[in-house]
Amino acid sequence: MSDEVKRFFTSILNKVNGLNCVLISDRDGVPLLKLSKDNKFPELGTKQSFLSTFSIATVQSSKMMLGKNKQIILCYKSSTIVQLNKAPLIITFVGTESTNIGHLLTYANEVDKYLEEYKIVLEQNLI
Amino acid sequence: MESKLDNVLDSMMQTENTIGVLIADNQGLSYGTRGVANSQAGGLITAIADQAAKIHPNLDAPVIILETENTSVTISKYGFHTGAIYKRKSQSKK
Repeated sequence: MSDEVKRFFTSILNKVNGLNCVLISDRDGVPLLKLSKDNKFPELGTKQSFLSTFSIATVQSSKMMLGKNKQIILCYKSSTIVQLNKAPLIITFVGTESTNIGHLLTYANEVDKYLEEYKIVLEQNLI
Repeated sequence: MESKLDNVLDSMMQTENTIGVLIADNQGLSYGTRGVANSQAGGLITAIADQAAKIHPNLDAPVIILETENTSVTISKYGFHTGAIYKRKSQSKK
């Protein structure tokens, strides 16, 4: 199963223009899976403090009476970060400023079926 | 603010046999769609245009036409924008 997850996210890395790195972490920002194109992980977007900030941001943005927050897209001068809210998991994609965000988001709905294993392990550890 | 873009999309839809129009930015995010065009397709259409442009990187981005049995999709990249026009194939007169 884990190999299947790796294969799925590696295929996203190879297909989406500009994408460099994928991270699956829990809501505290502890990484469970880290994948990158050249085994280099950009400092921005992979730090635990950065990842855990998303948990706060997604909770706050869900209070705007617009429904539950699903994803947050961050566009910086030299990088793009897309974070998906798959509670209790956070999926973080880090890429260059020209990353094809639209293409990346087409995979957002497919991600769920590959995360069941991680969700079960996390829920067992939380009890 | 986007009235000019809306006008462009509407006028493109007036063209004969056109059933859908999409305009997306460089990051694959749709600015607007009309007809059968799905806003989620913006990413894929931009990706197709980017990949095709890599064939001859020294030349201008090519126009790509995807043909199916009943429909054709014409994709064109201009600067930071990518456009797609969905057309129904005209029936040949007997």
